[in-house]
Amino acid sequence: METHQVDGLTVYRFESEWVGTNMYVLIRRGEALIVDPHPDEEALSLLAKENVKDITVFLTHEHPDHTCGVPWLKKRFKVSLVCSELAAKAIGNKKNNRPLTIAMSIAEKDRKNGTNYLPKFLSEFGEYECHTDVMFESGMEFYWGGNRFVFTPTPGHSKGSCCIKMNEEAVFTGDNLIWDTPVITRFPGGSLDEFNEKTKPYLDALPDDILVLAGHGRVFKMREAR
Amino acid sequence: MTNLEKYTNAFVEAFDVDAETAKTLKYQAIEAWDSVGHMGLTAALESAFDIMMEPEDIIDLSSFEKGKEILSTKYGVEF
Repeated sequence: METHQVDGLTVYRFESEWVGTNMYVLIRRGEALIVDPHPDEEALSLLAKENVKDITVFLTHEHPDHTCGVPWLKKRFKVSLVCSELAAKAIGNKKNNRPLTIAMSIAEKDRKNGTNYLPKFLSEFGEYECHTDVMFESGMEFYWGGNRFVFTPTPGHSKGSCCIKMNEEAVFTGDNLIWDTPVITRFPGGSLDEFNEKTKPYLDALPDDILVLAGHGRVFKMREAR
Repeated sequence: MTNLEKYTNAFVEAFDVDAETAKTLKYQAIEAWDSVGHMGLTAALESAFDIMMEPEDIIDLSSFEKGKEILSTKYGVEF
């Protein structure tokens, strides 16, 4: 776990064990905001230590490595889920919530290394459905703990992808922008044309000093990615 | 359209290859059939046959021929 400061708030970053997906946690007076949750015992300890009861969850997109923590959180806390309408439609169907890419990755590692982690993973991560509480179609402003979050649809990696800007100081980019890694647009629902037409101009217009809190990999300033 | 044609078309669409090439394919034999491409193939097969495959079967689908075996033995698709 590592931390970053954004407008006086601590942003905790937790990286998932299986495919290195980032979950971001912000805490303020017994409430938490979590972006792209995955199960993590260290995060659970932090939430318990801070006496968190209510959690707002933002999703950058509908892929299971970014949503698999939703049912995990809902078992333990009062959760309000926020994402794009297209992501909400996808995660409302358990067929779309099978962690297949993660399973493929683990199977490949098992084959290569002679390990056998796949059965454990599949037993822990079953299918699930997610009910969304707040959704948007063409964009949205959302306030949490006195902070302004601006949601902008950024399709290309998936239909329901979005970027979430926090106070003009930081941006959660999901899998639209990852350090030193080209965006993947070959998943079902992905589109390179849509990425180039709608998302690339959004990313290109981000200010140099904004902190990029990406869906995988390290956190960086936008100027480093140009 | 026969089931074999539907099955072959799923590979053709997912990997942008012709039908004859599709019938020879194995996982990772071409650049397009990697773990990301595998998700597109899975979606195409599930849509073509209106099925929902088990994760273990999706992982086992390692070639054109193996996929036929899985679909016929576990999902009742007759070829």
